[in-house]
Amino acid sequence: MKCEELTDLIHEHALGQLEPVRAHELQEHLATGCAVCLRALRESREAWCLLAAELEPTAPPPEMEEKLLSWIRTEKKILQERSSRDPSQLSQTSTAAVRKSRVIGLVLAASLLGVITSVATWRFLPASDRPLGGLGGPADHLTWGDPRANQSESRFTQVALEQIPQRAGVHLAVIGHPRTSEWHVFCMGLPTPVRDVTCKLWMETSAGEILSGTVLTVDTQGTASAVVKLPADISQLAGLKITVEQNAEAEEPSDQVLLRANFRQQKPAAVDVPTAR
Amino acid sequence: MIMESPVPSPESTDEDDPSTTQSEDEVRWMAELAEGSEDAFVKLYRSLSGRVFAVCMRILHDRQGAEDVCAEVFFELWRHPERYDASRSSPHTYLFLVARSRAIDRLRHYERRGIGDNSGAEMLPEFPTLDPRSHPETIANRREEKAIVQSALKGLDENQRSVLELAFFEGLSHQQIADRLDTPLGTVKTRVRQGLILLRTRLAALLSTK
Ligand SMILES: [Zn+2]
Repeated sequence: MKCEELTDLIHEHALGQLEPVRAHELQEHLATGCAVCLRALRESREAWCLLAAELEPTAPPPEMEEKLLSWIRTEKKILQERSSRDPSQLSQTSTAAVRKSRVIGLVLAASLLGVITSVATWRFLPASDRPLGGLGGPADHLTWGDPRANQSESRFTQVALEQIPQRAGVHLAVIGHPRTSEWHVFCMGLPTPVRDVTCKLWMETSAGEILSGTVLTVDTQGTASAVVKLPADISQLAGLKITVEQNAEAEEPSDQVLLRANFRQQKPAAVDVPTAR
Repeated sequence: MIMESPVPSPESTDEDDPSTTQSEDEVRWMAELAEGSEDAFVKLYRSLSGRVFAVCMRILHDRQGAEDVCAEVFFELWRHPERYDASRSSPHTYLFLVARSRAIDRLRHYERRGIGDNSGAEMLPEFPTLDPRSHPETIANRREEKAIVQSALKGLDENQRSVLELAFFEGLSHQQIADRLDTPLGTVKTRVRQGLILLRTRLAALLSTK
């Protein structure tokens, strides 16, 4: 196909609206490094966004900046505590960006949930399979396809999640095993039990479908754990969220979202494997 | 060349360096953000949150939803500055597109759950439109940018404008727009193509005559 014939596809692709088959074809062409089409795509994005630039700017509420800064500072604090506890973790990486992307993905779950998850993982694992380095060691950072997952015969894996807290202090970790479809979910910071109100966990597929919700039984400390069944092909899942439901039988999540998390997919080649200690 | 900074401010926004434009500032802040600079994050937030939020409001017509999406977009920017690729777009375009995509995801969710007609005009905001912390000269620059863009958009005819808006703010594909407007697919494609070309060329012309 000639580049000029791709113009319409490029305009749709710039907005991420091309149907998957066509998008794939176009991606393949762009991957050849065609300068004409890459430039056209960039220009298309900029042109589309003139529609956004035309809008009258609308100031978000002033609390939003404070909220963001408080999230950021909480994360930084956790990172610092974490790195002072395990300096080798950070010496593996070079730039701040890499450090953030590698570590922060799980840092909230791994650190704030550290006690819960480490105890839980410990119970699952036979002694010989205990994660190298224990808490703070590389086992905390396993992602799908990570070759390090194969080092241990048990292959228990903590799912790499990118958490987007909707309410401060809610965190979770998901631990499972590729050979079973059961995944153990650990949460903290949930609202402590109130009559007739339930927290539910929902899985979302990349197609935007919501898989049935799991009721989380929250204890008086605001923590909960649950076992969820996931489809064999976990790559179909995009993320999960925790909501507050007035009705435990609700089949669709409410708008009261406590936490959302996206599954982080990583290709094995993209992972730089720290040396086992 | 002009498309690399579609909304350049012709005047300075940086007191120290009169040659610095808004887009150059953004690029510099993005680089600093990638090194973990909180200060750069705040600058980007103050500079772009008004328009990111406006995009969310325009798509969702729901203040709470728009706030959630806007906060999410900036938090992700902080966490993953490496996702911005300078060869693909300018920083503000990147942020507008991320915000647009997230807001449309949420809109689809509302639609699936049958949350009524969100197009009610009464839900549209009537509140201050610019961050009061912005410098007066920044505000002046924004007004000027906006006038330029509006002038560029005036060059579109109603048909071109409506297909562009349906695609951008409602997330409809060419085919869906054709169905919605009961117009042949080929016509929709032509209108999108011509609309975008017109926007680009008019913008370039307006900037060069300044
Ligand atoms: Zn090409």
